[in-house]
Amino acid sequence: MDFSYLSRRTFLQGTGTTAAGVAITGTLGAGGIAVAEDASWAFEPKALDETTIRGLIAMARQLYPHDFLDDGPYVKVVADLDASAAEDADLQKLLTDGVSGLGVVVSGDASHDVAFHAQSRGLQLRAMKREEADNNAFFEAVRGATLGGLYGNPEVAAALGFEGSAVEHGGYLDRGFDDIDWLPQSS
Amino acid sequence: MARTYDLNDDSVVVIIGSGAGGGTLGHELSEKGIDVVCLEAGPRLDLGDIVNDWGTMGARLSWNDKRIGTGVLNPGYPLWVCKTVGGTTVHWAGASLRFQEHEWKVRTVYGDVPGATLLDWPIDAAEMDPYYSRAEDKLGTTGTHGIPRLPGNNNYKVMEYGAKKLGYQTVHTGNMSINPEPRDGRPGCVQLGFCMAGCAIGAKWSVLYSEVPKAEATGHFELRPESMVVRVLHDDSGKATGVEYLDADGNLQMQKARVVAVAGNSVETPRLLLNSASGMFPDGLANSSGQVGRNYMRHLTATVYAVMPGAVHFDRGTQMAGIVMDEVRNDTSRGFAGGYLMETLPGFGVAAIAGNVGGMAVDTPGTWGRDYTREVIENYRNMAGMWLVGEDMPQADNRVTLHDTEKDQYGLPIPVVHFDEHPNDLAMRNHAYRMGSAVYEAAGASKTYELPPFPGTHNLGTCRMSANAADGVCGPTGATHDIPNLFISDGSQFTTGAAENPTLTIVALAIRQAELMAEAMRTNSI
Repeated sequence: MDFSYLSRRTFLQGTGTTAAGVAITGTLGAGGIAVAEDASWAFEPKALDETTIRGLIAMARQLYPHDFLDDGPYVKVVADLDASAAEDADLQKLLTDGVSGLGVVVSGDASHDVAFHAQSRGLQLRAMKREEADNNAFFEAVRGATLGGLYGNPEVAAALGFEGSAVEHGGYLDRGFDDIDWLPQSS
Repeated sequence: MARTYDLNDDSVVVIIGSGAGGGTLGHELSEKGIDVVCLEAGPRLDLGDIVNDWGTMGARLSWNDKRIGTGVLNPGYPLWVCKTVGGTTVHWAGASLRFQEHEWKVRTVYGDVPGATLLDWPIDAAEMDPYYSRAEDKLGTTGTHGIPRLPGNNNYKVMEYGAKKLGYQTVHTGNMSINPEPRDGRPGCVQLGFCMAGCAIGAKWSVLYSEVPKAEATGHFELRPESMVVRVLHDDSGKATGVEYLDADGNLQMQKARVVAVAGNSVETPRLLLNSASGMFPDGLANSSGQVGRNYMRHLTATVYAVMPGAVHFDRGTQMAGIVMDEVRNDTSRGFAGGYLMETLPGFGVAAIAGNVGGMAVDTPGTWGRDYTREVIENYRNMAGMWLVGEDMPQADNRVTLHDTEKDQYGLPIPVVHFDEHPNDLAMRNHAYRMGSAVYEAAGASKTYELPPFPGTHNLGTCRMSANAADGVCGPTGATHDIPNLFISDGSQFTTGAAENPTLTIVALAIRQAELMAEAMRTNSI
């Protein structure tokens, strides 16, 4: 039984990651980059270059894909990572080198550079599984940040059925705590 | 009015820790007119500080000082307990169950279990009965003293349906110290669903708002929060004389005392005794037996989550919303000694489920990727969950020790907690997984996930109570065998763990200890 994956942060603060989230600007600012086809999800990078940011967004979505989500919540995860990297040179290097590593497509004895965000879904998964098997602090850092950031995002959690804070609504006593309707009547 | 005491006042009882044990003891003593100084390492919150957010409250309540886990424990986070006034009564779920009669005497009942250091408690069910009754009244426990049980939520109804279909008989919404209607200054439960983040309205009993204000109102109780005790002091005769602690500003203070009671939960209590080693007691205080820190227990524990055919919304309402008690009996035909309970438990939010199911259960499509999100995370609203809690076997080498070199922010050696499982623990958990999954399958589950223990919240036994001084650290009053005015007042004194959630027993022992301590003080025997 191995709980070594269970970092203090993931266990206790899984839903707290968004508290320190950075604002995502609605427009493309000076020096900013459009990180998706839709420029409304651009943000001002603080530490990471465009290739790294695009790669991390693609990776976050491949880690925890949901068809009902657009790129917005994944971009927010990466914006948070970028903000953390601005305070932590080791993290900046880890993320930059990590995405660079994902941008290697191995084919037989040869390898080729193809930016991770531009790879097909199958090639991306191949690269991610290779990184996951190899090591890997980078993979786990991004996975942990995506877990906490994506599912700690109240809108994402609500879409999945977690209804969030109840005290301001008077709890669930009159809001369906016992409303189950599919169970046969128990004797 | 809360009063204050001089550091040189050597008439006071100093209590270290303000949780179920220390906080209750302090209140009970103060009601008897005995002066108490309660030193608590954590800060004092009020209800306004308790919000319905797992991440915020995890950071605000938890004991996050560095500890190392070895054996099967999480290496970086072996325990999940609290560092706050009220201690772990702020985040407890409220389950309040008495030991079964035989659980006071398991060495006699179970016999010699190889590898286990079983011992009978030097007290029994008849002795504890009146104290249990007083504890249930104090806590407002449902199903006792004419207090009705709470209504069952969806998560309970799923478990109840499956359990009854399997033929289980004793299935109900538990004995919970959560008010179904207003009582003792606390409101009725409105089914918020964040019990273990702290009850934001105070419907659940907690020392924080139930015992401390009453103690202060006696005029015999001073609480000093953010006070980390670093050493218990003694004189040449071997009597405890006071404690040294670091105050909120980090200044070393010395508080004199007539009696010292240690109630820091099962890691900090033995750690403090070990850190108090002196020339006279080179192996630590109250440790002539070598038992300080040994026989650490954390209950069996396991979790089963199930994907049901329709919405459950298991976050709605009390977390421990109900219980199945049929497997708690001792019946060795199942292949193990002792028993276990099934208690509902949801998942602490989507992020925790998304991480814990993939990270801890085996039968999932990995930990990430499209199959994982579809099978596990996108079924969140249809999940039901139960926690399995049972008696684990005490073992001598499951223990708390001090790290050789590494120190914490107070300059104290950090604790190392070692735990390996006994074959009886494994056999019981295997049975519990099978029956827990069967409950949900009987209710139509399409998939169940078996999760191994979370970092321990029931931490017991590291300064255990024994009839003979060679077998344990304290005697039947909780006074240590070696130092008569030094008491163990928390779950550390548990001789064995029983199957039941421990808080009610800790409170009952504290009520009893207050009586015995007061009598010993009155007769000047301490």
